[in-house]
Amino acid sequence: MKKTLFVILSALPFPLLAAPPLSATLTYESKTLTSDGVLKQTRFQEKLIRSDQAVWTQRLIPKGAPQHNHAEDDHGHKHNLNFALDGKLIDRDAKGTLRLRYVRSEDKTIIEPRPTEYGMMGFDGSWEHAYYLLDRNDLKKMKALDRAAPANSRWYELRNPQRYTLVLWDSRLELPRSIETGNSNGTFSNRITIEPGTAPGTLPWQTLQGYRTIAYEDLLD
Amino acid sequence: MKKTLMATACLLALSQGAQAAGEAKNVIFFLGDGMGPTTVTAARIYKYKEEGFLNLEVLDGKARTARVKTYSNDAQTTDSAPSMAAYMTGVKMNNEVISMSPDTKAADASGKAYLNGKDATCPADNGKPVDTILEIAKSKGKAVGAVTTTTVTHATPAATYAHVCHRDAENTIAAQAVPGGAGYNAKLGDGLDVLLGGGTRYFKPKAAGGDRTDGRDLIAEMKTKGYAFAGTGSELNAIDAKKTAKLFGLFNSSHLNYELDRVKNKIDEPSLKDMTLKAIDVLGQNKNGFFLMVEGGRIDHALHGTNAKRVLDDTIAFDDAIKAALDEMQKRDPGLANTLIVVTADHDHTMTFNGYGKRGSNILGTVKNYKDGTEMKDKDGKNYTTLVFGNGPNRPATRTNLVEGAADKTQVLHDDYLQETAVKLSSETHGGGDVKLFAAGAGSAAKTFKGTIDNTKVFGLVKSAFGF
Repeated sequence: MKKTLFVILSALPFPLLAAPPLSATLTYESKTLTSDGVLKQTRFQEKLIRSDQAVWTQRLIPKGAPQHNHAEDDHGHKHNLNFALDGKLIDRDAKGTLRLRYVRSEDKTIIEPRPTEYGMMGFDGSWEHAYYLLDRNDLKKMKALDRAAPANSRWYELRNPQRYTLVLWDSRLELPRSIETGNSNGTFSNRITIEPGTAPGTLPWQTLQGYRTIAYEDLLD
Repeated sequence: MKKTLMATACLLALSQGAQAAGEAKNVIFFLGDGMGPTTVTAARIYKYKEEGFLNLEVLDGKARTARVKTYSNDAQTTDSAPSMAAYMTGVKMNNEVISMSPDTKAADASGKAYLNGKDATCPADNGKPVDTILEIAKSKGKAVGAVTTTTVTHATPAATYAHVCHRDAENTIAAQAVPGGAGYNAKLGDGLDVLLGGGTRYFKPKAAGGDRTDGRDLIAEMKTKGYAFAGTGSELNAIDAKKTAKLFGLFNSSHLNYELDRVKNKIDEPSLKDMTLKAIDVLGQNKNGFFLMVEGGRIDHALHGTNAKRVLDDTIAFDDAIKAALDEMQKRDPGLANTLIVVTADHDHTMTFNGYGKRGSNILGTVKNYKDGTEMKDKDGKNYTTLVFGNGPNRPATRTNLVEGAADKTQVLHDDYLQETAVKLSSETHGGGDVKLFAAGAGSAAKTFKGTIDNTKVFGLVKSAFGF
């Protein structure tokens, strides 16, 4: 009986016991050393808020950043295809079907692509990737390190002569705290640092009343 | 005296040849939306390698070519509304305007578009409709039709049969196609004989999941007016078009899927080739001949998305439709003696072709040095793709080495890989360069398409070929 119940629960698209909503600040950093000796570095941050049914990410704009140019479209009437500043909302229904939408607060618009357009928009259709920021199965293929780690967390490494990947995985939050990839000669690296915080009382996707929904293709001319 | 007469007769004959008046009983006008010269070259290499040719380049083996200037009345770089309207009416108009006089404005003095959602709010004194070649053909007793992979109310098909001050008024445009209904374009007489593409949303009321604010169900109205209706590829296939007088098909609530997705996901939508052949079957029944416009409309959308793979797949689908039409018309009209085929684009894009790749390289891949096949590198030592864009959303903060694989969308051969861009813009723009035009058939009519011509001149050449 216990075994049957376990099998049924395992087959469900998401757990019956809902994890509480979680918030985190994601810091993306990259470094590239070019052949002419220039070190190029980038850094930006996103807010992540997730629940069992939805994942929201939104770029954080530092104070003093130049104002976003609203008048850069091709010929005046259409259409802003730059989703970097929009809220990105991935949710799933009771059947586990995922839906991607972009939320543009400046004109209270929700942009909804077709599933066949998800790939072009950088969404691979994986709840695992959206919710956990990685595929947890990949951790099993990595070497667990004895390196010092925060409580409930452990470092994992995958390394070959050319490249390395380092993950700090927090098993209590089920969230990576750091993901770093790079090449072994040190000329290139990418790192995401994840700092958990408190989820807001009202989740961003609960504040979309009055927004109009348009298709992604409405932005095309 | 005799000699003088003969010389005069020769001159007259030459002059008539150049005019080509009345030789075309049928005209098929193919429009690759955004299909600029680089897209044509890249699609050629994609399917037929460097040494090959697209069907649209060969046509009947005697294709004539021209370069077409595409600027609009108010813009150096046009959008699809005035550029297609220039082909269809011979009139230069402002961006966003569909087949109206040059004084027509798409927006008021404050810049607010004459739109309420998808309904037009054009003031009555805001320009006048100008006749389209499709309307003129209809008035001369010919059958007429429009086929597209976009919504049938999108700028390009709309410019053949509708008149409105702003292209985004797709509800208003839809009503212009419904014989006898409010807002109908009476210049269409008893109506378009063929209308195939996407866009049920603009024909259905909001209560039925559409965008119409007037509560009308235009699909039901079209059926009442005698149109055979198809809503899927299977339904279209089941229609005996040779016995159908009026054919109407909407195969998606919005645009049809990209060809790559349609095939990969086995979506029950017709190909552009399927629609074109059905259209010819319907229109070919008219003894006076026909005018048909066929648009490969989503080439442009994939270009805006800087997704070269879908650009090339949709261009090949467009080219396959042209081949099928040529073969069908050769059966009906051997040698295309009375059929003029025109293939062109409404405008260019900013896609460009990097050097110096080795012959035989994958056109979607990274550039391989033609001398030794090694990866060509930029100044920072990173490789780069052959196809890139002048502007668009995908400009990485720092370029990384690219992988010529398809394992995931970061790899350049993947379906969803987005080519890199130079200038960072929200949306890739149209390009302002000239486009190519290819013409064949109808005796000497095709020969009149030559040199560098304005897009408005194409209207006159088609009209003259028809003998109007």
